[in-house]
Amino acid sequence: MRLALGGFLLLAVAAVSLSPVMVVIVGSFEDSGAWRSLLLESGQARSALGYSVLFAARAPFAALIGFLLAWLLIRVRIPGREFIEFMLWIAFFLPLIPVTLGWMLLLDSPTGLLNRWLAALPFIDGPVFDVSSVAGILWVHMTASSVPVMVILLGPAIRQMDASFEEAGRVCGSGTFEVFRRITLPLLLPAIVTGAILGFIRGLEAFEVEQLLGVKEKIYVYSTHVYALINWEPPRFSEAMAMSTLVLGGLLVIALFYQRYTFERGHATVTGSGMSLREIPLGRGRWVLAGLFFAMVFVTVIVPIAFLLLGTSMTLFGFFHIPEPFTTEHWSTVLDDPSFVPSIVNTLILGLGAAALGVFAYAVIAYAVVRTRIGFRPLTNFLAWLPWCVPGILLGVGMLSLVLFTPFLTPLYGSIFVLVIAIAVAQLPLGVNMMKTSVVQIAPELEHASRVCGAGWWRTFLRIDIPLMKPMLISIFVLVTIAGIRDVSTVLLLAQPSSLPLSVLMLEYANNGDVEPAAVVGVFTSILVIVVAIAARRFGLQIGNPR
Amino acid sequence: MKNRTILGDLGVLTAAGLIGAAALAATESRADAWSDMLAAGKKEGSVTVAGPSFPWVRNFIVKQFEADTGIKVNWKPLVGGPGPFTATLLREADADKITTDVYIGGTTSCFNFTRKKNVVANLKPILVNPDVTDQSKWRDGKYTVQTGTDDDRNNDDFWCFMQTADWVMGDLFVNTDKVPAGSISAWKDLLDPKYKGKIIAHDPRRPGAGQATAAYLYSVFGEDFVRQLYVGQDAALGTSYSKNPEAVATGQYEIGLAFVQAAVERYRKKGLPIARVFPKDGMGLRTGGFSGIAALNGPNPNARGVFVNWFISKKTQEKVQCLLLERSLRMDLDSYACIPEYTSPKEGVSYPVHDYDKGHHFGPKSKLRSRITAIFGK
Amino acid sequence: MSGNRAGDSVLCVRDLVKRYGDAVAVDGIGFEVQEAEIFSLLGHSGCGKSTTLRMVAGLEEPDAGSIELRGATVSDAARGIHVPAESRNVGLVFQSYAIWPHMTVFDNVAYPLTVRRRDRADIRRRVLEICEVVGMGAFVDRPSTALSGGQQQRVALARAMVYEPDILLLDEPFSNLDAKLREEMRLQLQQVQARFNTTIVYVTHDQTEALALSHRIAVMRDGAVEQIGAPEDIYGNPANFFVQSFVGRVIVLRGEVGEAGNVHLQAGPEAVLPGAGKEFSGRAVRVTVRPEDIFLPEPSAPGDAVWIEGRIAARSYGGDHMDYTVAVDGAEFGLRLDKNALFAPGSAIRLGFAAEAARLWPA
Repeated sequence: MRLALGGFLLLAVAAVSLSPVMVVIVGSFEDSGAWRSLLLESGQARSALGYSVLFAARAPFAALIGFLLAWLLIRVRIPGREFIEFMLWIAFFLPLIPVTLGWMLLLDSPTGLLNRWLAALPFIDGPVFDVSSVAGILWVHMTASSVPVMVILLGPAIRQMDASFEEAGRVCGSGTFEVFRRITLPLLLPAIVTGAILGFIRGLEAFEVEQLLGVKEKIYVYSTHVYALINWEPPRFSEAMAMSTLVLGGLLVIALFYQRYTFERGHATVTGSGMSLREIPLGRGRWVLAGLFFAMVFVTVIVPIAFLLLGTSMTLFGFFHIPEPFTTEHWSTVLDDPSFVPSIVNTLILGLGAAALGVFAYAVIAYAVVRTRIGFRPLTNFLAWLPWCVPGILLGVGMLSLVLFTPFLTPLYGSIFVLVIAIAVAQLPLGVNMMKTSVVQIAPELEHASRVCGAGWWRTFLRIDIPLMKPMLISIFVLVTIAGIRDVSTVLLLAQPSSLPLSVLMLEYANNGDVEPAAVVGVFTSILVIVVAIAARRFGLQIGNPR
Repeated sequence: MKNRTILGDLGVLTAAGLIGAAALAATESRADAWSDMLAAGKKEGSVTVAGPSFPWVRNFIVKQFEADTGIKVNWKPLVGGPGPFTATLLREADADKITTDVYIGGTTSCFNFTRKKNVVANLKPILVNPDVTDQSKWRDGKYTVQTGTDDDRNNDDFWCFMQTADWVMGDLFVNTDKVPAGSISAWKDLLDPKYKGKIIAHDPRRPGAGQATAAYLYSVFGEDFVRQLYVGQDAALGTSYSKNPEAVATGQYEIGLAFVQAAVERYRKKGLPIARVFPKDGMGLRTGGFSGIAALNGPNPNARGVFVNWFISKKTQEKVQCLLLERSLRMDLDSYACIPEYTSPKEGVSYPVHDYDKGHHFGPKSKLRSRITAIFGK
Repeated sequence: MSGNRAGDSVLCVRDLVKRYGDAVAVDGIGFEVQEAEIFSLLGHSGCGKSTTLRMVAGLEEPDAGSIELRGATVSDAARGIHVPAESRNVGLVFQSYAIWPHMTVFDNVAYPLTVRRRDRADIRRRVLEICEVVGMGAFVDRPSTALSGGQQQRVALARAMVYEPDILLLDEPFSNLDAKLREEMRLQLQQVQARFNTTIVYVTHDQTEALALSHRIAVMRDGAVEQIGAPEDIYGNPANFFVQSFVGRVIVLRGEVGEAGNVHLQAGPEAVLPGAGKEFSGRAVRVTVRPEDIFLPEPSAPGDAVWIEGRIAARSYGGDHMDYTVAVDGAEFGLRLDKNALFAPGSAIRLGFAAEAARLWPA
């Protein structure tokens, strides 16, 4: 029975995670020259891998900065910290394309507004900033997602750390910052390392920013290179897949290392009693900190949004010096577009549908892996990692093959349900791994009590585990919804005319240089995201969602 | 004898009448075929069309086609170029579940699938609308079609792809503030060291405008020239149809290769200093741009026919050429004024290379593609 | 009462074995529990008592042996029978209480009834009734996170009893409470048991608790049962040295059996048990005496007492009494004496006991 159940779950997970990966691996050998070309000939492939690693290496720094910010936000009574926290959520949730467009308006070389202002100064010659550069890409990534996501991920660990560890340090005579350095930081290091590794892996699949900013300066990364290969005529699938297989191998090593690391460390520091933490009195210093935080939020969130809005009303994106630089034409273009309203509906179905399906599936998988004794658990656990190792566009190819060549799935082809599944699969690793941390924290007795009271496994899961995991379920629901709203690459190949989401509509505009209407669509995507974030906040979601 | 004469006359008359009747009958049967097709297409209710990722083109086609025929258009934008679409289409074909009925776009991508018999349908029997069947309305008095299939390349009765517009590529643009008029009269002038690092080109390693222009130069001047121009002059290779012209319009670069008119016009109309230059030794590459149309084996064979007939009709072409900025091959349109003059073929100029030409595609262009990484690097 | 036929007992456990990898947690134990009986499994932590309880509850699957509940086989490793916990109709109170934090007191207690699809009025009536019985009547609408340890314990008990299970299993239920509260809860459990005639299996490592509460006790060690019997049997007539030293306090003395079975204790020249150790002739033995059987050399002491020599190692003042730590023969034990009997730390002390009060065990 256990074997059969385990086998069934394994097959289900394998069908959605392994089969796209298999399509990729098998596909890489379809053209015999692909591997040779990749390994021996392609300088751009090598450079793309190099840049990918270079960009992904921001993860440890982002983790450290994020940790410091989260610690300050939680431990110091900074005026307005709830607002700051909320803005960090927004920063993380905003779709990258519109945010990048905002930055381009400000920092593009030479037409960026900031460059123009600086050029007006007497002692500055030529453009100072160039967003289309390694530094520019790093800047956009760090401010728009890497740092905020670390604050969001590390918050719970800080909140749940047992206060007595720090108190013991203080009693022994250490000052606040010595305690931070010698006790808090080492204790939470596992959480930080976890964050850094997750950030590293996620960094490798980053796509939009590099596509918008990197291509002009020949800065290709893994995902944009794969995208370029697929856009070749005819598409160079085999090479794209060989490249993907190579990265897959590398990521598997990291994933295994990570699983080992978390296994060895357990989660000792994050399952404390969650006692109320002593806040650090900082007197006037907290106003200084508040000022710094507000400045940060202003620069990283409000400025790009403001410039995005400005961009939507410009005759020519970025051209401030032409006659009549402003217009409402782009808004009416988008609002009159008959695809616009259906796209919003599709996007909502996509985000909410993927989240509903995903949250439920992730909870079942995480629970089965952590709590049950069904067969094949380690393998199932491992398979749940795989989709992370495949860039969205290839995951799309894999899903396409899966749906087209599986008889009972074929009727779904062309419907939005395929996109919903694809997004749920793309978020499988994040969902299952976050959910696992939540399952681990449920004492087994709580379930046993229910079993003894006469409830079967299923009822116990629904009545006891699901309610206890509610905060995490909401977090994951929000993350998946937003991933569904933001995603472009995964759904690009799967979207059909009737299921075209906003993100593809945005790309349709941006594709031919119609940046302004694309920015208008981006504004609407952002609004959707902010609405979701506010709704989530209503549900009591906050950094670290204390229970 | 007289009788005979009368009979003979009668015979002639009868014969003439019969011929006339036959002609009439043919027209009528065409008209019948068209109304049958229209009725069957309406019954199918919708048609799925993959076309260029221009929202304004989509908006016109979707609204107008439904208004004219009562059939709904599901539009698939070729986002990110035709590559992803081709990938999906070929997979659908393998699973025998093609979802697209009509393809509108360039020829390059088309060579990848239009000859596959299970993917593409013969256009020849589909063209039944009396408005489009009169080939005399088209340039040179005939349709411009590509023929043949995978297994029979010389099958002239199988029309796999039809070109509906023809124009001259935007091979060479300059920033008129930086490069005075008349300073470039031949292509080799671009090899002047003063232009080193001042040239931006659409990436010739990708299909599309970049590759078309490079293949044109390769075909006319040879590999050495291409190498000197792109590599020797340290040309920047961009892939954005809008950013490249912008870079020239703003003076960041002085010379631009392989721009598309839709993007150029955005800047030119706002008074930015960007203009087409025609060197005497190479007045440009002729192409069909995005104007090609092919019928695919999708789920709506009748609506597909209605769409193709509608698309190449006078009324539609009148509008579409202005939206795509590509001069239609129909000679009976009321006006061509919306087309930028620099894309219209000039009287008395010979354009030796045509991007849609089979010989060019499988000749110099294929040669260039095989040499592409050797010349430009990977 | 015939008593031994399986049909009469509520629970019948036979030859139960549970292994975790190479370690054997439960090694072939068997016992029966009768109607309305409080049956304790007593032993050190890790002796397999909780594992046994969990197998009875259906939370663990035995590797060998069988379990019958009211005559129905619920586990039989040989026949591959394993009725899941939810189908056994047993009640279980966990050491950690396992009160669901996302539900109120009422919801916690009502849960087993809603699972059984009772109608709402019935559920309400019964929940209120049982909450009243356990003394939680005033708290039914409290969120369970706002309860003290003792209150959580009562809720757990109410939840385990509300559906009148065939048998109530308690896994060290009072170990997390302070001494006074523990006493109180124990009394309440006895009252509730008497009122509902509940059959109880009670797991504990606390021998005082087991003695005070149980009708019968099974003393366990290393996954096996050492002795089953009424508290008086276990205490007064232990089957072996382990049982005696584990249940109640005991003084252990070393001795040697000489000719004629006389046992010579090392604790003093006069410490001889005449003729007591015939079956251990010529071997070393351990002699055990309960502290309550010890007396001082007073006029009232019987003449044929055995006398041992010791030394006061420490003392502490207890108001109406004095607690001494006495060192005898290299071992120490506690001795509570009248406050009038004063010994200074370090001074020698002579202690006596009746020969019949001593038990002999092989060394």
